[in-house]
Amino acid sequence: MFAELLELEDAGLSGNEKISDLAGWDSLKILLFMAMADEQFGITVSAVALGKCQTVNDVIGLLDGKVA
Amino acid sequence: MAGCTILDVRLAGIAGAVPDRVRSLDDDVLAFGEADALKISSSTGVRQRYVAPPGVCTSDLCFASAKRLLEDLHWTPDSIDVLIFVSQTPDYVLPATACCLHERLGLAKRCASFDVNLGCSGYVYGLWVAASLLSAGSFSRALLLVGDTISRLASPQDRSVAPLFGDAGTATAIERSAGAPPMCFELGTDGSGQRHLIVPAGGFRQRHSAETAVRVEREGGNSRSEEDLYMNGSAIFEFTLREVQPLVQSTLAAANWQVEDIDAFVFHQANQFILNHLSKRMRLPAGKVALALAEFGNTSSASIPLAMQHTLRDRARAETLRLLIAGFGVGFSWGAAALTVEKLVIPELLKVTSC
Repeated sequence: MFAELLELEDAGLSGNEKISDLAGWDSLKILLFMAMADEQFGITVSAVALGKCQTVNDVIGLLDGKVA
Repeated sequence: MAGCTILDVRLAGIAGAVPDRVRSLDDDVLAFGEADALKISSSTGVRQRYVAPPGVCTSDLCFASAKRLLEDLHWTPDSIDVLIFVSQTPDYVLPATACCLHERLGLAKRCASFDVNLGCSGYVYGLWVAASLLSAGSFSRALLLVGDTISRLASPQDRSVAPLFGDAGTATAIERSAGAPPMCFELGTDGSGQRHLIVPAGGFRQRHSAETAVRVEREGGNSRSEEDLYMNGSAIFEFTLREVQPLVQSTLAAANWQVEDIDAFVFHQANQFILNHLSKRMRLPAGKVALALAEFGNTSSASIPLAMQHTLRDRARAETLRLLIAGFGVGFSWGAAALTVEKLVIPELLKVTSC
């Protein structure tokens, strides 16, 4: 799902990647991620919490374990 | 959330004006590169916007709108009892721009005139204030002048704001009218959002100085000064996800209307991505949600009346329409209204030439 959002080919993300190193992670992708969390999981992601995320796993952690 | 229903007040007409200078997607390609410019445009929905050159103020755009609207309504200037100017881009620190417009429009000395400092929610707030004053009984006619020249606050080197904002000024005529359909308003504020959409310097907290005018590089390679507009897009999106749906629902409930009863939803034109997401979330029929971003961009306080003029002009002049309008953003501040409008006077879009 995360790879899909970033339009990465099934990149085999381990989860430990730093989001600042991912080429596709920009402010528009942040909005897409928030929209997807809202639409698919009914979660309003905190922009502050999202801003503090360092790794892909940190970001996925914001979804309350609703996605593997 | 504060709510109130106002009786015996009607909207008579709406006019809108833009500067005659256009900034297009081609200009953004030159400024930010093709890939970024196209990516931003496909998200915001903005293909072009009208921008005020130096020397053209919000008041000039509102003046043109007001003058034309009064003519088309056959309202004489001395019949106006209240003038309200809603903007975050006034002519001066003082006096109130409403006083400047009072002189230019030749209004009577007994006309009460004042400014309201709000942006995205400003049109709804202005309408609420004007309608409340009229319904209180001592005034008959109000002119609500709402607009902004936000492009003048956007750093041209900041891709988070420069390709989004356009300029416009509008005029709305409102009058007391016995038996007019009720107007239902809901309003709210979350001041903890004040720092997410802000021009930090140039007011009295942080005065203008040589230092505050220097543009420095920030996140994402964007460059802006403390006197330029800063926008935290993700914090604003989070706020709209939390507040807009309850706002729309409570306004519909106050009017005792269902989604199906509404002829058009006219939201503050924040950006297309946000509007599409909110519309989908609230299951609003796509054809009923007004969109005017492609031509005008986000015009701050002017966006609701401008979108009404742009998307509903023919119908609103001929028919009775049930509208749900909602503004939300800078503050954070929000407001919505359920309105029944009958045969509005709406001149064509005016274009103001710089002198």
